[in-house]
Amino acid sequence: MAKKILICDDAAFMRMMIKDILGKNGYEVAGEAENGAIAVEKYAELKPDLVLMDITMPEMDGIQALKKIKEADAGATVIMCSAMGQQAMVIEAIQSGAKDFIVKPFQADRVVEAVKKVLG
Amino acid sequence: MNNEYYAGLDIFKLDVLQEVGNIGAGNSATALSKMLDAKINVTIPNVRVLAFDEISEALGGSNIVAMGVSIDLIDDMHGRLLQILQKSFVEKILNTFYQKQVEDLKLLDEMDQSVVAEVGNITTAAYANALSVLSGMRINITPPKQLTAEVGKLLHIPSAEIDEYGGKVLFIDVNFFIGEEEFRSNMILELDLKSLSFLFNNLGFN
Repeated sequence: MAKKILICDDAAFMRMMIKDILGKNGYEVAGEAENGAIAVEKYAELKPDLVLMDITMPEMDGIQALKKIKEADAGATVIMCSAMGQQAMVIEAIQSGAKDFIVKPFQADRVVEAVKKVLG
Repeated sequence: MNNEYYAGLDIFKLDVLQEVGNIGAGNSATALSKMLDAKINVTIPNVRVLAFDEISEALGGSNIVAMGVSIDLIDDMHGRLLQILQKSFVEKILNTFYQKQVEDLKLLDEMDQSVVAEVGNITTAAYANALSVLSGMRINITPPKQLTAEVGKLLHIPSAEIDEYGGKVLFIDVNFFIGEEEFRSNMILELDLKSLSFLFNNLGFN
């Protein structure tokens, strides 16, 4: 059975791009969220195998959403995907429970490599 | 106050701002190159301190319609980065991902706007990251706000970090080549007094 992934990004275009990359590599996109608050709701509803989480989003940013998801489910697997690649931010994300951090812009194989590493 | 501060900048501090522009433009071009999967050659950016009312002319005239992507800077530094994207560049960006003829920027659909906003987001973040590395300060950004309008109106895209409009700005003019085609992009950096002061202090200036 294909692994299910929740994509969280405020840009429709970015969600589409990631969905395309994942689909071509045999993963199923369980759902999409355009902000952190919806990400938290969808996580509870869909229980995906993995969350790909942008950081800069309205309503609730990706770091806050990551923390809330981890509070509800300590075993949640989240990979951050953001244009903000400053060291302090990467460290904060990892310390908050993210398994990896992909800096935008990314090549498709960086995404696939990161996903394969956590999901197989 | 902002006026006086920019007016009082000596040649060394202006040089620092030129370097901010250079590094930001370079990082931004690298990011753009990855996104468009294309080789991009950048000329040395032209970095100037301009008064608010000089900006429309610098952009080609107040009647020019362009897309503005505005991102606020928060955390250690406070201000706003406003990227101005003109029609030919927008068309080039869109056609990298799908075929699209752009007759009128105001008629772009939601997906088109999302593409440009995201490219603007990533290239602007490259400036913010460059500023962060250069200054040693932590700089975070807000989600992009986007507007398509005459350039005079783009300067008034609301920003929670800008107290008043009409001060001076750092105007970065970048010419670059994608293959044989030449494009122009502009970045406008507005920083509050405290941030400017902090930036120069962190770089060893008093």
